[in-house]
Amino acid sequence: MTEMLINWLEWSPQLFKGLLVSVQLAGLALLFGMPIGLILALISSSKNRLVRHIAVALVEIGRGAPALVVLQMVYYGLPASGLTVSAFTSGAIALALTTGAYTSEILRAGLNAVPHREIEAGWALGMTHQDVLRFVVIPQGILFAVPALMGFAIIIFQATALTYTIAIPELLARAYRVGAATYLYLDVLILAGLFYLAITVPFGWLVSYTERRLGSHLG
Amino acid sequence: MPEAENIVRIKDIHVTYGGHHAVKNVSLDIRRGEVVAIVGPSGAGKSTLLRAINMLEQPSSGTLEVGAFSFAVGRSLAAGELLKLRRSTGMVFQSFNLFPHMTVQRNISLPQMRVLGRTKEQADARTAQLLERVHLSDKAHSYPARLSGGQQQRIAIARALALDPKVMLFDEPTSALDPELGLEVLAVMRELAEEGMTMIIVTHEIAFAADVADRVIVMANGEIIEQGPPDSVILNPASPRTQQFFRAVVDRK
Amino acid sequence: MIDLLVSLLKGIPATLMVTLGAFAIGAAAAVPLSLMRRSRSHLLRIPARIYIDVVRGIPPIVWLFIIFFGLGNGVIVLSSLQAAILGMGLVSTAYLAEIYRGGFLALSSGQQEASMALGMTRIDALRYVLAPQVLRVCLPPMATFLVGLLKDTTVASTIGVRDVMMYASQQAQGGSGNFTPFILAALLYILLSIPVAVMARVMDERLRARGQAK
Repeated sequence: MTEMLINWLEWSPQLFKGLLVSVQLAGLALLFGMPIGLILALISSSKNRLVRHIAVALVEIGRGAPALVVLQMVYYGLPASGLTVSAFTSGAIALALTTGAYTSEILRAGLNAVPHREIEAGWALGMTHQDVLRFVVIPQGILFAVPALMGFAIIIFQATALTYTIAIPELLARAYRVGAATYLYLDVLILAGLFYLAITVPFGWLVSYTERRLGSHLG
Repeated sequence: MPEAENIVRIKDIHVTYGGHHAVKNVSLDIRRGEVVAIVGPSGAGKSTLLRAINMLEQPSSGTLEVGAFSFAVGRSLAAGELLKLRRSTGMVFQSFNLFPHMTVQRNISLPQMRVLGRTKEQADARTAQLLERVHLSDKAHSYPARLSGGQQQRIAIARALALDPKVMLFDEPTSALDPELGLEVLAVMRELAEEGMTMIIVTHEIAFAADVADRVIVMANGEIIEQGPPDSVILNPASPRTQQFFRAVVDRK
Repeated sequence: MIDLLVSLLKGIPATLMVTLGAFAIGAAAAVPLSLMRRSRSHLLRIPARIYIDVVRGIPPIVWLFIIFFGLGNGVIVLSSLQAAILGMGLVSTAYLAEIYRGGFLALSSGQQEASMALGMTRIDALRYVLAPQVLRVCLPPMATFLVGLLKDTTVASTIGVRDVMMYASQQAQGGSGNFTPFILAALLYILLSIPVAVMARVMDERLRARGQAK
């Protein structure tokens, strides 16, 4: 037992570097993916049928395709099309696309939750529909979506572990490398698990707290 | 003698939706400064008619004149025309419809800035004036959720007034309020009428209509069945349908 | 292209085995787990809570690695497929337990009170009154979960299971490496999920109608 703890101390610095990579990947995915999600959400409510159908199709495909498939597709597919990017960039792009598809549904629900009578009030005041979207619908829609978006953030952070398969030196990859060198797979993987928990559990508490606070503010 | 200027002229308006003919061939002229109350049983088409005036409902035919502008409303209007129409009308809704994520001040100032192009200073100054007028100056930085229904409705009135409309449209402004809170709103509306605002009010408050309105219009089944000064229409209705309606209102036993 | 499709199809049995095997384990094991979670006894509730939070807080791929490389290597000998089914089963148990819990919470407390007022034992109340209603509420989220599980089983390929994902990777690495194998794989997964989505919609309407008829 104490041996394991000693080993853990020895392995922690490397694993921590991997954790940073995981967090960076998740951060980039959210940073670029959520705006994509918002745009898709707005387009899926457009009056133009063609544009709306295209957006809905993109979202359904993005959500229907397993994340690992999207990851490998970007990783193997881009170089074959002539575009060479680093593994990290491929991973970030793939996760951002997945984020865009999933968050578009979350944001669409948030936008739809804004009561129609407020939109009518905006129209009655002579505001253009763009202004109604900009000042009344989108701010509240995003606010309504925050808890679910935070829940998704936890999911995408866990998904960064999948980038092990495309040679990104994130947390799981480093743990596996230690395991392969020492054959103490179980010990190091448990440590990796603890590192993941160190992020997901506190963040989960934050999500519950935010849910409660937002509930009272908008009620 | 200067002609009693008609601010709103409604001609041959029909509104149908889903097969239901909600408003049938209504024509109506409203003079500047006139206060008109529209009453009648539920489903008579009163709200639909009111909402057709600022095109929240799309009529199937007819024309609408507000101020100097004329609109053939049987088809959907171009965006520019629609905005022009809505800038000359102000509407107050049954459920107030304030923007909950903005303070009272921003609720009233933002539309002025975006719709009339006023600067923040100009808008806030006008907002302060109006809050004074509805007796809610101390609530400028509160959020709507913290205010009572009566207070929210008065803010909604201020918000509509801030855009200097030619005519104010009220869609059952006190129906969602309990009687005490309704009184504060009716008081504000009375003051507005005395100051000479042109007002069209759909309401169930017959006593208020009798007191404040210059003309009472009774609608049933999508048509105007009687109109005239409150005394004659309410106390001495000519048509049997109107008699039936007011009897139900008066004999609440 | 046809060859490509055929080789991908070879992965379907493994994909289905992992998905359905894990779901079966999860749906069954989540019952006692969620009852423990609801229990008034600390001794039962706390371990259940810990299990659920820990399992859901660690990525499924890490669990598979723990079971396959960690345990399956020395302590017990497991094949890739067994490890995958076990691992995803463990994960499914935690998520389904939360779904069951949500189902219980959605139920009005009046039901429990009414059965107690009638003098029913807690077990009978559970069996005849609460559980059937909870089941009805839980079926839609369970169907959604199953669709998600189908996609998540792609991680089984990382420990060597020959599922659709594995064959797609092979094709991409072996061939010129481009989008096609993965686009086809994605389409296959989407197609596989359609029966579940349809069944879920049908069940939902059927149950809704029955509920109203009462």
